[in-house]
Amino acid sequence: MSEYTLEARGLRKSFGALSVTDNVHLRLKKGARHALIGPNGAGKTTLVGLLSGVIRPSSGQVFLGGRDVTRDQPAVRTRMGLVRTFQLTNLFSDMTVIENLYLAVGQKLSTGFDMFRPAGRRTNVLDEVHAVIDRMGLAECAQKKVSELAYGHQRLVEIAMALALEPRVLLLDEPAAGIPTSELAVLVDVIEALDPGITVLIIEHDMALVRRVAREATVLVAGRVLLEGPIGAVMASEEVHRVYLGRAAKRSESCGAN
Amino acid sequence: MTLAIESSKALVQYRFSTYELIPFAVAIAFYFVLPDYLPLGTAICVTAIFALSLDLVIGYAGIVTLGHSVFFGIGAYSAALLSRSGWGEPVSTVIAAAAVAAFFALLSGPLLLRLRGLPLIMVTLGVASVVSEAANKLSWLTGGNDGLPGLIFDPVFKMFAWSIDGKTAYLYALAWLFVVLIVARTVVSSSFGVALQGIRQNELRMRLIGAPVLSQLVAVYALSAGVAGVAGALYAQSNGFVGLEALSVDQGVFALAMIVLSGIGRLYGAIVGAVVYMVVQYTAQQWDPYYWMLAIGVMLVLVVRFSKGGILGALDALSAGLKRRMETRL
Repeated sequence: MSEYTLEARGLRKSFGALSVTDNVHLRLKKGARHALIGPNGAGKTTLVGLLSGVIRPSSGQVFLGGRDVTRDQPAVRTRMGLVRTFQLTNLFSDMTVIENLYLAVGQKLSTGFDMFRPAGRRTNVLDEVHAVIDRMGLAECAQKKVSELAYGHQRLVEIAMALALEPRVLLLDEPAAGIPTSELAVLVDVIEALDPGITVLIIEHDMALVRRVAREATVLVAGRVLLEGPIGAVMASEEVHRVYLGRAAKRSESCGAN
Repeated sequence: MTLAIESSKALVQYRFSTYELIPFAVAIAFYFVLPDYLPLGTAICVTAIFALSLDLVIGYAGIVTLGHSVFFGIGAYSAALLSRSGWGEPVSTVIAAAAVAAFFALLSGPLLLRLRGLPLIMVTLGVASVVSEAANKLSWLTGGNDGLPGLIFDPVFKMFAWSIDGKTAYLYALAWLFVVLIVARTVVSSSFGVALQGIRQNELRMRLIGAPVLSQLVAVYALSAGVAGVAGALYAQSNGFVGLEALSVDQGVFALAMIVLSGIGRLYGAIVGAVVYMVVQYTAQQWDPYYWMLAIGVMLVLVVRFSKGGILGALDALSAGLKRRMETRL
C-alpha cells in the first residue's frame, strides 16, 4: 500500500501541437482536502478527465491506492472508489431524482445483473437513496424529473450521485458553479461533513469555498503546476495573485459579486 | 417514513395494471368468435414475440439493430433440425432453439455491442445479409432454396395434437407469448432493467458510476436473442416448414416498423404493433396482392407524423387530456 491514495506521475496530454497537460505531478494522501485552482483554460477539467479515465494521457501514469490504473477504464476506477462529478451537469435527465440515485446506489450494491426482483421492492437500495436525498436537502424535488429541476438543484443532484457511490477518492469539478448563494450552505456542510478518510480533490473558482474546505492547493497555469503547498501559503503567494487571484478578485469586484 | 416512488416509472412498472389483461382477454375472445382465422392469430402471436424481443434491445437498452432476423432464423432452423433428427417434443425444442440463439448472441455481442448508432445499424444489417446468403449456400444443412419441409412435432404435453383447424397451434403460441411477456416484464422492471434504461439515456455517466455497461448490454442482447429464437421455433412448429424467408433481413425491418408504429419501449407496444401490422397486411393483401405494402407505408407515415409515441403514445396523450378535462369540470 502506497503512502498516497491518488497519485499522478508526469501526466501529459496534448491535442496536436496544443499541450493541455504538461508533466503534472500530483500526490494526495488519504483524507487530503486538496484544491486545484488556476485560470480558465489551465487544463483543470482535462486533469480530472485524465484522473477519472475519461481521457487517455499521452504519457505518464495514474496510481490509485498504489496501483497503476493508467490503462483501466473509468468504470473500473469507479469500482475501486474513484468518483468524479461534472462541471456541467451530466445526469439521466428523463428520469426522476430518485431514479438517478437508484442507478448509483444500485450499482454500488451490485444489483446491475439482478434481473428478477422488482426494482421498486429493493428496500436496501431505496433506503440509501432516501438517506442521500435527505442529506442533500433534495426531498422536495425527489419525485421530479431532473430536466424539470432548477439548475442549482441539478447541481446538488450531481453531487448526490457521487456521494451515493460512497467514494474513497472524490473529484469535485466546480461543485459550486451554478448553485445559488442561498443553497451554497448545503454544499459546504456536505463537503465539511465528509468522512475524514475520504480523499478530496476540488476544482473551484469560489475562493471563499476553497479556503473553507481545502488544506492544500495546487495552482495550474497553462497545463503546468505553478505552485503547490498549504492553502495559506498558496493564497499568499504573489505569483499566484499575479496570474490568477488578482484577476479573479478584480472580476468579482466588477461583477459586484460576494 | 419510506420513500415515495410513485412518480418514478422505472421503479414501479413491476405493479400489474388491469389494462394488461386486455390483450389476453381479446386473444381468448378471438379464439371463440373467429375460429376460421386462427392461423392468422397464430402468426400474430409469433410475430408479437419477435417484435417483443426487438423492443427489449431497442426500446430499453437503446441497441438499434437491423439484424435480429438472424436470431429468429437460428431459432427456426434449430427447431427444424431437431425435428429432422428425431426430436419432436415441442416445448423442449423451443427452449433448445432459444438457447442456441442466445449462444450466438453471447458470441457476437461482445464485438458488435462496442458499436453505436449508424455503424451498429450498418454492421448488424451486413451480418444479417451475410448469414442469410450463407444459409442459402449451406444447402446440406438448411435445404437451401427448398428449405426444410414436412416437419413433424409431437402433440403438446403428449395430449394436444396439432390439429388441422389450428386450435392447438394458436393456444400454444398464445401461451408462449404470455410466458415471454411475463419474463420480459420481470426483467425490465428489475434493477438490471433500470440500469439498461440508464445506459440508453446516458452511457458515459453509467460508466462513471461504475456500471459494467458492455456486459449488461451483452446480457440483454442474449436474452432478446433467446426470445427471438422462441419466435423462430414457434414459426417452424406452426408451419411445419422452415425456408430462407425465416432468415430474411425484411423480418427485422418489419418488426422495427411494428414497434415504432405502436410505441417503443413498452412491451405491450410490440403486441399492439404486431396485431395492427398483421391485420392491415392481411386485409391489404386481400385488396391487392401486389401493392399491399402501400397501406403499411401510409399508416407508418401518418402515425410517425402525428404521434411521437406511436399508437399507444397517442392513447396516453388522449387519456391524459380527458383526465385534465374531467378535473377542470369538477
